[in-house]
Amino acid sequence: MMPFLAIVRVTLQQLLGLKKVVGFGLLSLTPAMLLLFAARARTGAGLDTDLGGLIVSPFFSIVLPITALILAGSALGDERRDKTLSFLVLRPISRLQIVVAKTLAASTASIVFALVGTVALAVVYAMGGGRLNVMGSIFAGAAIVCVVYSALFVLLGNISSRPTVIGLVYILFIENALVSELPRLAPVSPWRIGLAAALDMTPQDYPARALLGAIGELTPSLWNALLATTAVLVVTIALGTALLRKTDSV
Amino acid sequence: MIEPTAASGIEANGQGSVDARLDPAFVAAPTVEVEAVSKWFGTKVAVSDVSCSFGPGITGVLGPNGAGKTTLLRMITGLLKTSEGSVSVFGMNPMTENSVYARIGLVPEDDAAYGFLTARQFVRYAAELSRCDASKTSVEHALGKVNLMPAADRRIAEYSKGMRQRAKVAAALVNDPELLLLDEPLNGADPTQRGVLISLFHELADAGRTIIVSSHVLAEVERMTNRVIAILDGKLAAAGEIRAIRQAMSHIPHRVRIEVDRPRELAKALMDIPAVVAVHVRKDGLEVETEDLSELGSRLPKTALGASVRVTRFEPVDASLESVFRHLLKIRQ
Repeated sequence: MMPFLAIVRVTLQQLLGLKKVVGFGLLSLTPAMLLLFAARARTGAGLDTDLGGLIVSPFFSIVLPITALILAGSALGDERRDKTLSFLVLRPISRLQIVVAKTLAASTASIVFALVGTVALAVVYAMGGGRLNVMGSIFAGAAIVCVVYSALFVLLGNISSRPTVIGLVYILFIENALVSELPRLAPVSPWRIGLAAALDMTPQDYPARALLGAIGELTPSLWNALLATTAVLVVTIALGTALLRKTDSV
Repeated sequence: MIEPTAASGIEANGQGSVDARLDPAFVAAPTVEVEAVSKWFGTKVAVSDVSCSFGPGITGVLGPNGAGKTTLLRMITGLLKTSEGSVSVFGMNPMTENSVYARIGLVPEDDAAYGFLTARQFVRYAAELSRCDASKTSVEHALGKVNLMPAADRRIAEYSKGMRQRAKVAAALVNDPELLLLDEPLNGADPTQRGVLISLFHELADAGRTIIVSSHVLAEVERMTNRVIAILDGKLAAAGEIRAIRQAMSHIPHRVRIEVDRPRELAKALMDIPAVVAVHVRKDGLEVETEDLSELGSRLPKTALGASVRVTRFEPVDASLESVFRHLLKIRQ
């Protein structure tokens, strides 16, 4: 257990440097700041709609994916770039442990920022007279989004020297442009999977029209989201492990 | 003695049998065995049919830049898969049995250290990854060995290249490895620190550790060991005692560049010196091949005076390690 936890600890230290904490902290607070402006003009149901819109647009579709992309992409990608990967793989530990530890650390770092963003949204929403009971489901959905993106982008960082560019193209053009036009493709959009899970857990009386429109043809379901997350984790970790075993690429 | 070595061993009795005790590329009690190993990347052959072994003590892997030293070291660690042949470390295949890494320490040539960690955190991380004692005492012991304790709590990103090199050595030593692979370990270290590191390697070798040091600097390897494996163009050029390489250097024809105002006149006069093998007239002077550099040097002033020419420059062209290895490789082939 000692090497596994050491990798998680050092990766968290790598990902949560001061500049990144400030940068991603501010990014995660953006939806709450926008809600703050909206809350000055509206109350009650109007604020619910604003919250829905802000969760969908900047939080789930931009803030969470980009945070996970940068953090997870560098979890193994920086080791490859800085040539420290040999330091890690020439140890009496399995490559599987390395990939799992990296994915866990990247997910945890992203979830920390998701939590900051969710709490900030909850505080502003409550200040405007909204209810706090929707926030648990939003955070759970956001955590699923973080895990799925982290698993994908840790693998991407392991494969490509330009994970950020490729990830941004995927997030902005495939997910946020193409899938919006073709709702049938919603199952390949991790943030929509997480949002669908959040909707499944949202209280029945919460007006969630803005959110429902965004998930395309997905059914709001926590179990489907957990199933998809598990599948993504298994596949990405298996591929990442195989790639690290092919040591010529280290 | 040094011998231009057949890559697969010497045909000692003319019947193809190999006596490891006779071939200087091999040792009697090997820790690491490299058997007919080749490695190619696409069409580029990086290492070609190299066989040798390493045992307790220090062995230098010597060769010019790009000779294949790092590739050989990476295959020994299991970081690179051999295209042909096999590598065994403590009787295990490092590609498939990662438990062997608990007994190995590697200092790579790359600037491979985590800049965001302090040296103390870096060495502790190495200990944890190797499943060995990661206590404060153990970490400080490793840092103390490379004189890095005063800077132990500074981030590695703030270190000089020599300090980073020492931090990597400390990280490689923390698990008290039986086999230590050092790829150009003295790069960037100042003369004092070189002395500290070399003494440390000697100390470890005296304690029975197997240490493999790669370098392209003969003088550097000479301070560490007497046994070398010389590599050129991916091939085993020679193996044996370093003194013999020095001796071999004195038998190789030297090339000397001479800048002179009237080259043809000097060329004619130089041909009377027995040590001169050939003289080539170039645009800016002469290029002279000689079997005895010191004789040429001592007779040149008088010869120039006799020919009434003015010599402005006299410099050896290729007194490099590479030329020695090429010479040895030529003999072998």
